[in-house]
Order: sequence, then structure tokens, then C-alpha cells
Amino acid sequence: MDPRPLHFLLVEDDEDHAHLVKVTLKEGRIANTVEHVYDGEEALAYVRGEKDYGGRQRPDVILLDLRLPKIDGHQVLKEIKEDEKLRKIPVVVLTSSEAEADRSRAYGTHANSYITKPLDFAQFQQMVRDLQLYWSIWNQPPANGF
Amino acid sequence: MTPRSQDSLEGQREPTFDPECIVRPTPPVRYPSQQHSCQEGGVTPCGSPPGAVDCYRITFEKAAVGIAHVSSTGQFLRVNPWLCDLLGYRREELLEMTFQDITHPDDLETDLEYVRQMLAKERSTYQMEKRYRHKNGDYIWISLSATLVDARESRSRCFIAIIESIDARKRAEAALEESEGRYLHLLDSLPQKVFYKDRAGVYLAANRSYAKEFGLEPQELMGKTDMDLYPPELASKYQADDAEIMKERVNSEYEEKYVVEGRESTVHTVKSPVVDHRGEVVGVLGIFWDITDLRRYAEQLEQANTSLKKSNKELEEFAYAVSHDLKSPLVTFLGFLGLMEGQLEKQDLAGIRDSVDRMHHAAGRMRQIIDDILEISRIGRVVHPPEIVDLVELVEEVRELNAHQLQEKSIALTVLPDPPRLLLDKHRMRQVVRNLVGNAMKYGCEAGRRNRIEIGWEKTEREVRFYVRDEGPGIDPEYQDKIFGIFQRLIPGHEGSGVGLTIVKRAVECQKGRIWVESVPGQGATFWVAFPKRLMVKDTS
Repeated sequence: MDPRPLHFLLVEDDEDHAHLVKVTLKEGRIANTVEHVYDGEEALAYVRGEKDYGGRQRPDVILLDLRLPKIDGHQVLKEIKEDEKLRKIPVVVLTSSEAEADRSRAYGTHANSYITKPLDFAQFQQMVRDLQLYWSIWNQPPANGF
Repeated sequence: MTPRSQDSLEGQREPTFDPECIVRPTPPVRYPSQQHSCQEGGVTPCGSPPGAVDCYRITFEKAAVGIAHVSSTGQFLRVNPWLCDLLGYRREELLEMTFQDITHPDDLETDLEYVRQMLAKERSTYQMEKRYRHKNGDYIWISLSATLVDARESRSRCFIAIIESIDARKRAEAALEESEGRYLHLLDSLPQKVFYKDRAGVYLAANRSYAKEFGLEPQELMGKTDMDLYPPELASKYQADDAEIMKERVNSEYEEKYVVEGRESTVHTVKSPVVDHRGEVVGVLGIFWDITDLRRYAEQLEQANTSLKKSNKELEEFAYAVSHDLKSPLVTFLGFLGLMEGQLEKQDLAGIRDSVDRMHHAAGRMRQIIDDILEISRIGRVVHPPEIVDLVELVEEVRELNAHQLQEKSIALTVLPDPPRLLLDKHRMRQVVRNLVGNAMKYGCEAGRRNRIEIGWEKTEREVRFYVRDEGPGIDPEYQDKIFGIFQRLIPGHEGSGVGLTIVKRAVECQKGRIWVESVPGQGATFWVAFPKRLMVKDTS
């Protein structure tokens, strides 16, 4: 199976975490591009093509943190999944929170996956690489894209 | 008292009794008791013909009541066996005595008064209930009917005394009275108010506790209605309730308003219909007690509960925020530590430098979070004694502390003069002012232009309000509540742990104050802090 190149939207307010994700993605074998936004408002603007984001590439996967400035991750997830034109985009919640309340709420608003950031860096790298493989190789998108 | 007076019945003449009385031979009579001792001594009551005399004598001797002839001085002149038996004396013994000798001292005065009235011809008979002393020393209750036989009817004046034993009845009455008294005492000892009203709402009974409400004795309540005791609207309500209870024949309980003598309270009332032996409802029985305090405690408990729930929720959010925010720099720290291993292999010195910087920074954040948590936990727990807080003084402290930054960002920090002085925790207020001014400098001022932070105050009817106003980008109404939550940062990339406003909010609320923000995006933000006016220090100058 041929790997498909992936375009990620990384929604992460922590610059360091974003750096770790981006570095790991870059080192992986799957061709990818990453758009990084820092808060919920920017994330929604990006997927809706608002503000300066008109004509930007639609993400293949959204990596969404939950605690975000302005609009938090739960709200971003809810708005995406309530939007007929956006809801097919896979949203992977990527957070430090292990709270059950966050997990059940995220799945309740139709998150495609929920991942807790591993503390150990080797595991962190493994997780990011697995994510790439999964969404690039194993997962089959609809013919017309998400 | 002279035992034998001349004015006696001693000498006899024709009696005025019915002369037609026929005497038949009668079998020997048994007297009330076997041991009585006055069978013999056949005294002829009056000097009448043998047949009639027998008749009277038999009546006298065998009547099942006590009969005595008593001289005007009280001497027993003749006594019948029944009386002897009743008193336990032999006839001869009794005839040596006066009625005064065997009358209870408490009854004697009344008795003698009647005797006096009869002798004075103010009355011809009298009846009384009194006590005689039995030979064994016990007092027994008797009913006495006395008639004066005056000198026209008899040679000398004397009394005819008819004596019935009422001791059993008296004992029963006393027992009943004691029992009633016990119940009455029980009712009167109750702190609850008890009453009984008839069908028309007229009080028939009430206990002492109830009467005391109106400064009355229980019997003074009798005959009154609720209209006499309560404000009209309450009385109407009570009457309507009573009517309902009597109609439906059910017990009812109420928690209701109660006003007596202008004092308002809340009472719990239980009312029941009273049904007589024919099954008809004849009135309403009620008992009620004050539950004002109980109600207040319940409300206080409810409030405490609500506040506990709120505080629990806050604690939960706090724990969540703390664990999340502590984990976050740890992910960074371990992440760059891992990266650094690769960078070491590649001898990527610039990369190593970058990783070390970020790890430093992450460790600093962890340390900051720990400090902040400690600080937040101190607010409300560590209370400093209230001091007079002068806003100008606190602002000047902040000005000094941030002189460099104020100059760098060309910020004009102004204070409205003569702010009211309040009695507050000065340490906490210093934190409030520092944080609010710090926030305004951080988020409300931009480098490369002239900035202004205005600090002022105003008084409302109930509050003294302070404000810190900046001319920055402002805060979207959507986020205006959120900014006081712990670890909330509106602007990504900005420094700060996100607890500054949490500290401010807690510091203000711990001192009975409140805080809010007013802002129109693009037109700056104004943070308001308000305290109750009673904290204000009156200016003595």
C-alpha cells in the first residue's frame, strides 16, 4: 500500500509541544506538511477558510489540544462535528489530560481518536510515527477526500 | 363551749311529727356494722304515745343515715346507731362530745357561721359538706343537713342533724381532680402552644404557654376568638383552616406565618377536628410551636451546602488544571531531553542550546506553577488583620516596582485623587493592585505608542468601587468570565502562568468584594473591584 502524503492541522498553544510534534513528524518517513495554529479561534478560522486562511489546504488530520486560549478544544471539536462541510475531517484529540470527563466529552462530540501525550519522549515519538502510519497507510479516506 | 346548756331538747313534749305513723312489729334490725355500740340506750326521741313514739324511734334507730339531735351549743343530745357506727364511737362517748370536737378545723368556721345564722333566725336550715374525725383519727367526708327546732316546737331549741357519708364520692372526686390536675399540669408544662376552639372559633381551652403569648392567664383566653388575638388577615386564614378541618374531618399540618404583638415568626401547626360521643364535630384542637430558628438553620445549612458544592467543584477544576498544567512542562522537559540525545550524537550544538533553553524554561514554569498553587491556597486561609488601605499608596508602590517597564512602553499611570480609604487586608490588596496593573501593562499596552493606564474609583449607594482601565485591544465579551479561571491564558505565547486574575478574584472575594471586567474589543478593558461601603474608613479630618 502506498503511503499518501498528509497535511496536518496542529492546534497547540504550547510552543514547545508543537515543536516536539513537528520535529518528530519531519523525521518520519511519511511525507507531510504541518500547519500550526495556537488557539481555538484560529483553528476554526483555518478550517472554515476565514481570516487570512482563504484557499489553504484542507487538513487530512486535525491534531487538537483541549486546553486552548479563547475557544477551548472541546468547543472547536463540537463546532467542526456540527458543521456538515467539516465533520468528515478526522480529529485526533492530543492532550495532556487523562480526565475521564474530557475523554467521554470528546467522544460524545464525535472525536475520531483521543490520545494522551506520553511523558516519555521515546513513546512520544512512537506515538507520532504511529499516527502518521495509521492515517497515511491504514486508514482509507472517501474517494473525494474528507 | 359548754357541753350541756339549758337550752336543750332534754325535756320533751309532744312532737310535731306525723302522729299517724303506724308501727308494726319488726324483726331485729342489723345496723350498718356489727361492732357498733349504740344499740342499747333506748332514748325516746320525744314524749309521744307509745305507738307513735315507737315509730319515730324505729326511724331514728334504723335509718341508714346518721341522725343526731344537737344542742345549740353543739352538744350531741341523741345520736343514732348509724352515726355511731360511722364515727366509730359508742353512743355514750358521742353524747359526751360536741360536734365541734369532731369537726375538721378547716370546716369549723363555716359550720359555726351557719349555726349562728340559724340561731339569729336568718335561716332555718343549712346543708354543707364537711369532715368529721373518726375515732381512729381519720377524717371522713359527710354531708350535713341541719334544721333548727325552735322553742315553739320544742321545749328548748335544738338542731336536727342528718348526716350522710360522702367519703367514697369525695375520694373519687379527689382522684379525678388529681388526674385532671396532672393533665392540666402536663399541658401547662408543654413549651408548645395548645388550644381548643368550638365550632364558632371561640376558645374553650388553652394551655399556659399559649396564653402567655398574649400576656394572659389561660382562663382569660376563654370566650375570645382569633379575631380578638391576631391581625385580621391571619385570623381569617386560621378560621378558614379550621372550617376546612371541621368540614373534611382530617388532621392538617401547616408551616405558617405567625404574628403576635407585632412579632413575626414561623410556626408549625397541627390541627385536628374534635368529635363528640355522637360523632359530631364540635371544635378544633390545635398545637403549634415556633420553627423560626429551625427554618433559619435549614436555610443556613442549605447555603453552606451550596457554597460547599461550589467549593468542591472549584477544587475539582483546580486539581484538574494543576495536574494538566504541571504535566505540560514535564512533557516539554522530557521531550527535549530525548531530542538532546540525538543532537549530542550529531554534535548539533545549536540544537542542544535550544533544547537546554526550553528545558530551563519548562522547569521554571513548573516552579512557577508550584509557587502559584501555594499562593492561591494561602488566600482565604492566611488572613492578615485589616488595615487602612490607601489606593494611592499601593499604586505608587507598583509604579516604583515597574518604573523601568513603564518607561520602556511609555505608559502613563494615573490615579484619581482622594480615593476612599477602606479597612482591608493590605497584603492581599497589594496583590490585587499589582496583578491588575501588571495585566494592564502586559495586555493593555503596546510597544511603540503612547499608553495610558488609569486607576480610579467611584461610590455607589452600597459599594466603593475601584477600577483599572487600559486602552489596549480589550477582551471579547465571550471570554470575559473565563479570564478569572485558573491557568487561563487568552493570548497564546504571552508569558504568565494564568493564575494572576485567579489570585485577584480570590483575594477580592475573600474580603466580601466582587470583581468583573467591562470591555469593548478595540476600546480597552476596565477591571472593577467593589467592596461593601461599610468597610470604608470615615475621614476624621
